[in-house]
Amino acid sequence: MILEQLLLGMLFLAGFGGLIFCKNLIKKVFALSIMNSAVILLFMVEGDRIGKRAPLVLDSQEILLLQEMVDPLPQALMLTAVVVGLCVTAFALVLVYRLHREYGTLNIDIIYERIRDASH
Amino acid sequence: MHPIDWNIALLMLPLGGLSIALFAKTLGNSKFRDGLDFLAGIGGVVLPLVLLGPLYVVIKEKPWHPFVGQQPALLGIQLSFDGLFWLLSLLGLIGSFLSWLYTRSTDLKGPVFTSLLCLQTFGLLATAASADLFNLFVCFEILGIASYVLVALAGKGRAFLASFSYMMVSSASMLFFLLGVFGLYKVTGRLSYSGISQVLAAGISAESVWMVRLSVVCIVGATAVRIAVLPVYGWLPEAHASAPHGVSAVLSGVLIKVPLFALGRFLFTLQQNVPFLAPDVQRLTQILGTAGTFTTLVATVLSLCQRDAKLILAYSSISHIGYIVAAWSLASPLGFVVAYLHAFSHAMAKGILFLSVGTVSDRLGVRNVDKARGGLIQGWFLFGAFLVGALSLAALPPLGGWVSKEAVAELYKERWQYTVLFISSWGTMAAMLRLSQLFWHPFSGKPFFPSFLKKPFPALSPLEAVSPSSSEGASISGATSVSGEVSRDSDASQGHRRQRLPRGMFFAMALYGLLCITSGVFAHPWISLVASLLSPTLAAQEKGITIPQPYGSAFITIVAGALLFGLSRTRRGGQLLQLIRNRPQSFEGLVGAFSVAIGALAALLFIP
Repeated sequence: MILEQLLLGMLFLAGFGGLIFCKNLIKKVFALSIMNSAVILLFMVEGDRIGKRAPLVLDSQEILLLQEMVDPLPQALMLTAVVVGLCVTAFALVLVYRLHREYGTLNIDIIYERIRDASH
Repeated sequence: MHPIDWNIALLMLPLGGLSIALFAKTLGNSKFRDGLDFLAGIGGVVLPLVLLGPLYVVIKEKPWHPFVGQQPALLGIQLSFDGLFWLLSLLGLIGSFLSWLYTRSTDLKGPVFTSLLCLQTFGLLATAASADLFNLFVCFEILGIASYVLVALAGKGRAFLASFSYMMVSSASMLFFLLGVFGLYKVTGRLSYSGISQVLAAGISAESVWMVRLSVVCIVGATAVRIAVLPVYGWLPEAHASAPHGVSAVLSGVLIKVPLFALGRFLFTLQQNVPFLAPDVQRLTQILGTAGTFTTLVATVLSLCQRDAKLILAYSSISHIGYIVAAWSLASPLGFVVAYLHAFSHAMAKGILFLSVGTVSDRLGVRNVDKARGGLIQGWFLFGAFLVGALSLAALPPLGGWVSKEAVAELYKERWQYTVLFISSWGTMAAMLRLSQLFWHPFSGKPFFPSFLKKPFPALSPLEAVSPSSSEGASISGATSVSGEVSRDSDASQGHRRQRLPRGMFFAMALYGLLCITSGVFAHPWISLVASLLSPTLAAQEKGITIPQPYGSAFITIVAGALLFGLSRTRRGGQLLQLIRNRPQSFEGLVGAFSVAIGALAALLFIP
C-alpha cells in the first residue's frame, strides 16, 4: 500500500513539475491531467484498503461479505472528479487552440511576451 | 412546503434558468430565443433574489443543516441553511442580477452568457450552503469552470491567456484541496464537517494527527488561491481586467469572497469541536491574517503603478480582500461580522466602478489612464457613478466602504496591523485619484488640474484611440460594446461624442450606487441585520460594532492620498512606478508562488 502511494505521489509531483516547467501549452494541459489521475488513483487505492471485491450486492448472502468489498464511496466521489477533470481538460484545449490561432505559437513565454509588447 | 424545500428551491432556480437558456440556444427563431433567454435570466437570477425575502424569516427562526435526500450521515451530503448562507446568497445574487442587467445592454447578451451566469450563480449558492468537504470541492470547481468561460467570452488573446492561467493555477490548487479531502477521509471516514469533527474529537491515533494537520494545510492553501491573497494572487489581475465588464464586477465583487467564508465555516467548526486542532487552526488563521494585512499594502502599491484602468481596479480588489481576510482571521464573531460588512461594501463599490469605468473607457476607445481623457463628456451620470464607487472604496463618509473599512481598522486598534491598514487606505485614495484621470480634460487642451504637476497629459487623438497600444483594451471591451451604438473607430474619429446610456446599464449602476449609499447612511440597521444572522449574541450587545465618526481619519486619508498621488506624478515617482509595473511576470511565477505558499504554511504549522 505504501509503495503504491509513493508511486502515486511521484506521479503527482511529475505532473506538477510539468505544469511549472513545460513551456508548451498542450504539455501543461497533459501535466494537469497527470496530476488529476494521480489523485484519482490515490482515492481508489485507499478504497481498496478494506477489501478487494467489487462493491456489488447480488443477493442477501453477500451482505455478509461486506468486509471483503472495496470502499465504494471513494469510487463514487472519483466519478465526479473524473467528470470535472474532463471538463477542465476539454476547455483548456479549446483555449490552447484559440491561443495558437491568435499568436501562432504554443510557447507560453512567447505569448506572454507578445501580449506585453502589445500593451506597451 | 417545508422550510428546507424553500432553501433547496433557491439552489435549484439557477439550474432551471441554465436549462431554459441552453434550450433557448437551440432555437432558430430569434424572437423566441430572446424571449426564452430573458425568461431564463428572470428564473435563474431574479427569482432567487426575490425568494430571499421570505427565506429570511425561515432562517432567522431556525437554521437548518439537512442531509440531501435525507440520506444517513455517513453517505449524505450535508448542507447548511443558516445566516451565513443567507448573507452570502444576498451578496452573490445582487452581483449576478446587476451583471445580468448590465449585460442585457451589450452585445454579450444571449443564451450563452445567461447559462454561464446561472451556472456561476448556482455555484455561489451551493458553495455558501456546503457543509461537506467533497461537495465544497465540486462547488469550487463549478464556480471555477463557469468563471474561466465567462472570462474567455471577451473573445481576444489576452482574455484567453488570462482564462488559461487562471484555470491552470486554480485547477492545480484544487487537486491539493482534493489531497486534503483524501487525508481527512482516510483518517475519519467522513466528509461532512460535523462528521469529521465528531470523529476527530472522539480521538485518533498519534500517527494520524500529522496527516490531519497536513490535510488542513492543503485545504487552506488551495482555498487561498481562490481568495487571491498574498502570495497567490498572480492569476487575478489579468483575469478580472480581461473579462467583460459585467463579469469583472461579479468576479471581483463576489467570487473571491465566498470561498473565504466557506473555508471559515469548515475551519471554525474544527476549532470549536476538536480541542487538539484548535491551536493549529488559530495559527493558520493568524498566518492568513498576516498575509492579508500585507496584501492590502502590496496590492495597493501595485494598483497605483498600473496604467490600465481595469488593472487598477483588479489590484485594488486584491488589496481589499486583504482587509477582509485580516478581519476574518481573528476567528471571532465580531471579526466575522466585520469581514462580511467589508465584503459587501467592497462588492457594491467594485461593481459600480467596473461598470462605470468599463463603459467610459469603451466609449473613449482606450483604457490607459495616462492617455484617456474626456470621460466627463459621456455624461454626469457615469461620473457620478464613478464618484460614488471611488469614494466608498477610499472609505470616505457617508458611504458603505467608510463604515466597513473603519470597522476593520478598529479591530486592530493599537496593534501594528492598524498602521499597515491605515497606510494602505492612503494608497487606495491615490489609486482612485489616478483612475479619475479618465474624467479629466473634458474639453481638449484645457487642463483644470494644477499646473505644478508637470507630467504631460496628452489629449486623446483619433490615432491614439486606435493605436496598437490600446488595441488590446479596445478589442477586449469591444465584446461588450453597446448594441446598436456607433462603432469605436467612428467614435474616436469624431471625438468623444456623447452616447445615450442604455437602460440596463443605467439601472445596474444606479442600484449599485444606491446600495453603496444606503449601506453607509443606514449603517446601524444594516450592521444589526448582519450581526443578528451571523452572531445573535453579538447583535444583543449594544456596543458590538461602533459607527466611526466622520472627518477624523477620513480627512487624513484624503490629504495623504492626494500627496501620494502627487508624488506618483513626479518624474522620480513615475520611474519607480514604471519599474514596479514592468517587473517580470510569468506562468512559472504563478504556480511557483502557490508551491511556496503551501510549503510555507506547512513549515509554519509544523515548526514549533
